[in-house]
Amino acid sequence: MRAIRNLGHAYAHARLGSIAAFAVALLGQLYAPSAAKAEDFTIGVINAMTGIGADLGIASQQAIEPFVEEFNRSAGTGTRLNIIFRDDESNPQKGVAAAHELLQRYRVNMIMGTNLTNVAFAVAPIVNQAKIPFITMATGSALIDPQKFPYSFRTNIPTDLEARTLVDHVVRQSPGKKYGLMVDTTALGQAGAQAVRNALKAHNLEPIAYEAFNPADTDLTAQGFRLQKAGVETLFVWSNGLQLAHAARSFERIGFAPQVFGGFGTHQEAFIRLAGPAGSKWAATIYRGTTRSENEPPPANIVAYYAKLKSRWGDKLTTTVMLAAMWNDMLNLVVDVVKRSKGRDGDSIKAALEDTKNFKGMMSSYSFSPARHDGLEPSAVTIAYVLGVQDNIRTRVPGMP
Amino acid sequence: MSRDGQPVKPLLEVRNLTAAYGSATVLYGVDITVNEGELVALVGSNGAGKSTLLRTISGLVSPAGGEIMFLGRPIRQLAPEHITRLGLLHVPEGRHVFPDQSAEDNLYLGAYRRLRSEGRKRIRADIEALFERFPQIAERRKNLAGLLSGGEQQILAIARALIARPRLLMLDEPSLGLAPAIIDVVFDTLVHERRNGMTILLVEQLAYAALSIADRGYVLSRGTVSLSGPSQLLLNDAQVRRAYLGEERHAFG
Amino acid sequence: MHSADLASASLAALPVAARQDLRPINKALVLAAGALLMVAGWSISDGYISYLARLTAINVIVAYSLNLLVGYAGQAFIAAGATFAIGAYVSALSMMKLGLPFLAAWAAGGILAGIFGLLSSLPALRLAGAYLAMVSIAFNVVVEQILIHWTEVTGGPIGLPAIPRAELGGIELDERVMLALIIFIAVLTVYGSAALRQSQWGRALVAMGENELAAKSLGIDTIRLKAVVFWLSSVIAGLAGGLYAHSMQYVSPDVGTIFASFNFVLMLVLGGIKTSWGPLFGAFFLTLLPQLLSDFQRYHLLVLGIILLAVVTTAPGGLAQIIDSLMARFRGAIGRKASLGQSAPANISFAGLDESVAVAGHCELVASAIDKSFGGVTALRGAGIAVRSGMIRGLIGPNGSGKSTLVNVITGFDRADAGEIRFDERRIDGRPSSWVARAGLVRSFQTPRMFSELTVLENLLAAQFHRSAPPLVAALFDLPSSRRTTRQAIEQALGLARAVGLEGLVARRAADLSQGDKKKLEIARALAAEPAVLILDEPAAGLSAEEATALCSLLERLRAKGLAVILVEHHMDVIMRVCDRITVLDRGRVIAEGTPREVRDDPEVRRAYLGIERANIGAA
Repeated sequence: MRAIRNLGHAYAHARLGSIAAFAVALLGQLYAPSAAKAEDFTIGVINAMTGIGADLGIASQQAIEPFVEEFNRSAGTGTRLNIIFRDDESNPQKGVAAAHELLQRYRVNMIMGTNLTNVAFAVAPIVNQAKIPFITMATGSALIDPQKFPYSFRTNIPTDLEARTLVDHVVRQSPGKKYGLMVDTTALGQAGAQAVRNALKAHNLEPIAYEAFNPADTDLTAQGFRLQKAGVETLFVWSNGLQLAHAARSFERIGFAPQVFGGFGTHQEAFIRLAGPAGSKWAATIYRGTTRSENEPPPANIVAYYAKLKSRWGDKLTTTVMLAAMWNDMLNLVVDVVKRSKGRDGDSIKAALEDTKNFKGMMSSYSFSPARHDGLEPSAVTIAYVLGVQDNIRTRVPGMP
Repeated sequence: MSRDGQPVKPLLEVRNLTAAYGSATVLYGVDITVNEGELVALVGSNGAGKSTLLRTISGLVSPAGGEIMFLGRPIRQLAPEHITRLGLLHVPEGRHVFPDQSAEDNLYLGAYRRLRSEGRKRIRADIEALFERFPQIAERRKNLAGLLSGGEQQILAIARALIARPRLLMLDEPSLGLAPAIIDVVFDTLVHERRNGMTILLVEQLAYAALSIADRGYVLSRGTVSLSGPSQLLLNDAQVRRAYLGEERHAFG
Repeated sequence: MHSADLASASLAALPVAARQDLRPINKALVLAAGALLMVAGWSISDGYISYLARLTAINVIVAYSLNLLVGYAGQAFIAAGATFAIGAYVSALSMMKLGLPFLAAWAAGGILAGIFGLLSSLPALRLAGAYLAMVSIAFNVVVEQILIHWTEVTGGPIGLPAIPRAELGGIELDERVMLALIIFIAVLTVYGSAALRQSQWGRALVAMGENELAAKSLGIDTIRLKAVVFWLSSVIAGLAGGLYAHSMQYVSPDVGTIFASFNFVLMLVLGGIKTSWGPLFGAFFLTLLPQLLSDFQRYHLLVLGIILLAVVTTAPGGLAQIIDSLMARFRGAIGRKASLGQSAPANISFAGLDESVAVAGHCELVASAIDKSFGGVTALRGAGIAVRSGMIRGLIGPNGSGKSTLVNVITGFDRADAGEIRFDERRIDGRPSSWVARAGLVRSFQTPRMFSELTVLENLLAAQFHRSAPPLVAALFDLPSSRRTTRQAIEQALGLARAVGLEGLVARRAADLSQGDKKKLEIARALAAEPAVLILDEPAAGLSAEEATALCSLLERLRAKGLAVILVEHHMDVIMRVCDRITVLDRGRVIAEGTPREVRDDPEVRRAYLGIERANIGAA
């Protein structure tokens, strides 16, 4: 022990200088002025790039970077977009830290992202207190409430709209089935469970079986077995693609093959890669713009957009086209809002956002008002099979327009 | 100087060695030499630095200065396990046996390096001979070493070092915690091994007993060698007798 | 020659290094530094800096609370995140759902966290090290699951948004006042833990963490001590959680995950566990560094990992070690070396012994017909031994004859299978070892069991804990009563150090002592616990002839003072010279009992123990 400690001393002496210098350099960082220029429009993007939400966060970045590069190239001497990415590690506390840093150190003009609902809930009060507009991509319905969070906006599909779409479709197409519900224990899963229950309640229905699982679980045969024993024919799931791929494989092992309907998160690359044939009967909500019916040709604009992404990222591309298109719409909207806004301050931007009427994007047209901060048209949402993707275009389930 | 008419070959040479624990210096320029085939005793009062000297030689403490040569090569910079591989074996004070192995397996582990070159049969014969010498551990050979009494563990640790047949064996207070009858056996064993050609550096609190069986001796006090010479001379040295041998008697008068 | 004069005089006589450890904390300095920091905190207007400052100060509080439990007391408790979360949730919910005022809600959080701490101390009574760590992780998971699934109350995975700010008397505290309050609590925690460490409590904690068996042998009630330190540490961490909830205004289960718990432990390890400044460095480093690295985006955790790895491999003692060696460089490290340098090996003397060892009243210990076996191996069959005040009883026998087992059984470290042990007519068999020690039976160990990281002086002080512990509050705030007990304990400790010849080494770490000095410290430490019956297991092993002689005189003096002594020894000179009666064990049985002369002439003893060749070697 002694000898080791002595050795440690020797090392410490040899490296003390370098470590001290490093520490000083790091501390200096804290006070380093930000690189942004006054005429730039600075957006802080908080997303999970590590942890359970990393898939979506990394994929989002793949859509944002090409957009900003192209926009700034064509901006000439006009306003340029300056994006600062922060990793929230899928942890709300880290999201809060990132929000403080972006708002108070970088003085960003807007915050976007927070792909995880619980991170969005943690960040929302801080951003709203700072009176800076916050466009979240998290789907939790309660996140958008102009009374409580006057600066929070969303273009993405809210969870209760998804749940309504799924339940209405199921009840219409195959009434009288036995419904089950399986979600993960994260905020996403819990919010989904609540939304599905509410949507079923509207039809005076309720699930006959309910299962929750830890997002770290890879073996879900126990849950599948219980659902199977309960006689579930149609199963609603709420989680991310990776976790659901594990579920599909687990169900296949025990020969459990219900009709499965999930939220938007099901349509992730991880599910497509890992679920295998077990996922063929799985369907989930999605933007109609990225789907086609069985006999239709794929929408040309989306195919072209996807090709562009593919050429930019090559094999590294993990984003689905709908996620990318959603970001593309969000950023186009922001550019439009900045043009229309009287100033760069939060209230002017907010007013310009609330003044948006039928802004045309790839996925939907978006309208906001002081009372409406969820900008998506409900008709922009449909249901499609998760697998069988061609050119990143999904096939709608029979019976969905 | 030569014993038995053989040419003297220094096996271990320590030159001007200093060592410290943190900011407390323990050794101040120690010089000692151990020649091939010798039994050298190192005596001195508590806290004189005897244990530290052994720990520094075997690489457990990094020296602050000086030189350590073993088999003619410097070993100051080597890691403890490397030094052991060269054949310099240190049995520290206290009972460092493998507590979760049986007593017998502890001995086999001690012979680990010999096992390949000499084969199991030779080793087994040596182990049996040791068990004969130390019947109290022979009785408990199948017991886990951790369950042996303190004294039995001490004997086991010594036996394990002997079975390794090192080039140089350094023992730190082998008599510690042993019943008088067993101390005799341990010292007899050392004499026997020395006769069979093993080189031994012995640190002992029982200075009289140690010097009685040694060829030469060093007296360490306050981190330096204060006296050295043939052990018979040291035993008769008035100063040594007064300071270190004192009233030491191990048995009934 | 009593009173405080003498105490301060003896303090002044201590080597510089020892005095530094015991010097009372400069309260004025703490007050000034605390006030300065609070004003500095209050003056921060930048939201981001304020946020980081609040987070850092809260982490400092948790790191120091963990330093008590995981550092000083050595308990491998990982679940600090859970404790923190309990404090945060309970405090937040008490305000939100029960409408309690902030102070009551905050206290409720601390109380519940304390109860959780007490619960988690239960497994620590039986488990230690990796096993305890595993159990505490399980505790953490339970709390985490409750936070996630008890949605109606905890808000589930989304947590509790919009927690009200702290208020005092109906006035809401803004960010700046809140930061000042958090800094106040952090300074109080740093001060309190330093004061506790310097008190008798702190030494008892470290002693327990370093060597629980030895602590028990000195009468330290480790069960109670563990309960206290688990409770105290958890209350502090819980209060930190409450501050977090009302200053960040948002909590989610993520504050209490096992990763959060590991992060707190990492602060401790990285900063320098058991040091007085390490937790501060660790909390600063681990709170601010990830923020500084945020520009690395998705690679920032990788970069953080590499930096942590570099620090830990460079300085296993944590940042405190790096900073220590930096300081040593600046100071030139002159003073320290001179003071520690070479201490002259002192001989055993008896100065101070008379004041340090109380005259014992009459007592008698009788153990009879003791059986004990371990698995299939019989260690004792019908063995017995008796001793009374003013008597030295020798206990000899071959190696493995059961001497140490008999000592273990008498002192409560092993339980006899049969037989009885009476101390002054009262049955004491079956009592826990620390109880036996407090009753007056104190033993030393064959292989010295030091409180290695404590100095010689502190080893001796720790041994007095069971009869000189100040109230916990006095220890936490360094009140006069705490200092008084320490002073008195120092007085006695110095006397004992002199008595065994260790006065020149009082400032040295016990781990750095030679084997012989460790044996001396064992004896002095046992005496410091004020035994009526002193049981020494091979005290002369490793002592030189001269020292052994001095040991004999010491034992004779103790006998004269009325102590009863049981002496397990192989050193026949010592045995023959000092013992009044001798018991000889062989294979677990008493084969002889009598005066030294009777025993020496017993043929069976000669055969079994002394050996036939003895006379030849011993003839000097």
